Amino acid sequence: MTARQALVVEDLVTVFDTPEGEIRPVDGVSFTIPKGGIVCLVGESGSGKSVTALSLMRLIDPPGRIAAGRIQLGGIDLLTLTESEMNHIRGRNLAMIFQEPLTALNPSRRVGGQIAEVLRIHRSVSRRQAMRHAVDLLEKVGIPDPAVRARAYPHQLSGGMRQRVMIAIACACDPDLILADEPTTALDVTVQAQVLRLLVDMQERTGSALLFITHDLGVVAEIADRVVVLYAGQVVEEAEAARLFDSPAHPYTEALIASVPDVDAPRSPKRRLASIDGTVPLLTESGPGCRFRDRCPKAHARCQADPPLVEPEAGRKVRCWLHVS
Amino acid sequence: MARAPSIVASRRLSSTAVTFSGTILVVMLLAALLADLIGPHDPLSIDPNRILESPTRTFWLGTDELGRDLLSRLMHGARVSLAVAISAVAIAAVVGVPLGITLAYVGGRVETLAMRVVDVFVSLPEIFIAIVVLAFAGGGMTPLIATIGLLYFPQFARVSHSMARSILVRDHVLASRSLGAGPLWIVRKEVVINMYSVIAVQASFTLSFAMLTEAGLSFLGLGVPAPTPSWGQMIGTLKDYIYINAWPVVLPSIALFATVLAVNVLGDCLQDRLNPELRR
Repeated sequence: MTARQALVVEDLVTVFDTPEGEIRPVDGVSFTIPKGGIVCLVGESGSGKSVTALSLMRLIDPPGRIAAGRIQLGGIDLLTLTESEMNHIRGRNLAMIFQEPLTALNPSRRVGGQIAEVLRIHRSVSRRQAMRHAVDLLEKVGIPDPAVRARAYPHQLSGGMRQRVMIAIACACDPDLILADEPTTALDVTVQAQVLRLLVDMQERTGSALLFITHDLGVVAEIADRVVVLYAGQVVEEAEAARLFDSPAHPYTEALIASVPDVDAPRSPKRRLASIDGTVPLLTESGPGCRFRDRCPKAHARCQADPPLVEPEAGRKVRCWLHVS
Repeated sequence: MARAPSIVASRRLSSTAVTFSGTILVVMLLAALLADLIGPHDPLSIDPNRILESPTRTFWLGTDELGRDLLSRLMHGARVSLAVAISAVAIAAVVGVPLGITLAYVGGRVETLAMRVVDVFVSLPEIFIAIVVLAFAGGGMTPLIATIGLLYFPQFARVSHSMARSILVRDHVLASRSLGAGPLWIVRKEVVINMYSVIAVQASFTLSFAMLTEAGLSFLGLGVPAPTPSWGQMIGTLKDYIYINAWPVVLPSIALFATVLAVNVLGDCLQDRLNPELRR
């Protein structure tokens, strides 16, 4: 089974030690990504999406730490590796694209050099070979005049181009898995679609699997094979994208989908945009019970206890008492 | 729309000040470098018949208490002042910058403790420490440079430490780590490269302090031993003859004052130019 999976995450727990006590932004998250597949990790701010991604890279700094779980990338258990072994994996087998390309690129270095850097870290190539490869990569990500752009500094490029550079860096070593943490959020809407298309193109070309983190359900519908919905550090639903949108099983997923504005619906002053009342509970106040119950329209007595993650039908998992018979 | 007039005025002023300061510094550097070639006299040859003279045709800037040519001595003095100050700043930077960055990278209790020690160093009165150290180490160029260098390394350590801390939490450092970059790579390619400008500004200010410290120590007789001229030492000796002829003591004072001022103005200008918030 693991042979066909690019990534297997089991019961991942990441905790932060704070003066007020331990908090768990990621609390027992499990999911898998098939080789070459696209999985979207969805959730609102504070649901633990980014911490999950950084945990997968093992880039959680103190006071945070990965407390439990297993992360298997192509059969390698990442949590057992030493830091220097992990450095061989990062960038080569596992790459990450960040939300804000302006700050994720070094402002004092030319972009060509920054792309060449990955190659120089992981492959024994000369500076010149690496630079030539960097220019090729810039061309592949659709940057016109790549030889000239390679000599530009990040601030001389547009937001879309900078994100293209980030994609080039991530794809430089043909990684097995690319983590993209809201890569289109900081971009103009018109540029978002282009960058999204490029990302999927590059992912297909390199044969990488893609974990796409977003809160934009429109993007999810467009690219995802499977969707993992995260709420307060836990997976509340996991399903194939089409089935998730057709028949959401968890009340939270249902509410999320309902809150996407429907542009085709007839206009009327009575029609209001659906929203979910309240906010994600503070991680410090999570007692027992379903974490969504205070905001859930279908909450009932059983929700005082922790709901288990069940599989009501093949290929779908839900963490809700409504689906426990 | 229109800029406040005061800003326009101050900018115009600063550009003349910069030109002026740059000229002074270039003249001083040339004088120091070419002292042997273009100096009109031997700075050490004495003439008992022509002591403490005002400028004449033979001695363009007059003579000192032993009848030595002041112009030549000023030029050789510039060499000592600048050489000591520049070497001392280099030592301070080479010790302080790696220390600051390393502590910022290591973090934790080691960082806190070591930076407190550095703070203690900063709080000590510089001249006092220098006098104590030099009294034991003896005079001469090398102890002087080493002492002044060690006096100023804590400032470099503090500046580079706080700069490195702010850079290390930036996204591009995280991005670099996500690509498998090791600690040395990150320090070189992500941290140091983004703090050159701040180090340059710190170096320029430290340079003027180092020149003043050197002059002060030479004034007290703890600098380069006689007969090698240095500005501080010339001031220290010639002040005793101020009632006979005030002219000779004024010259090295002006040279020191002008050079330190020039370095400061250029440092200020550098800071303005490199600070993105003040640019434009």
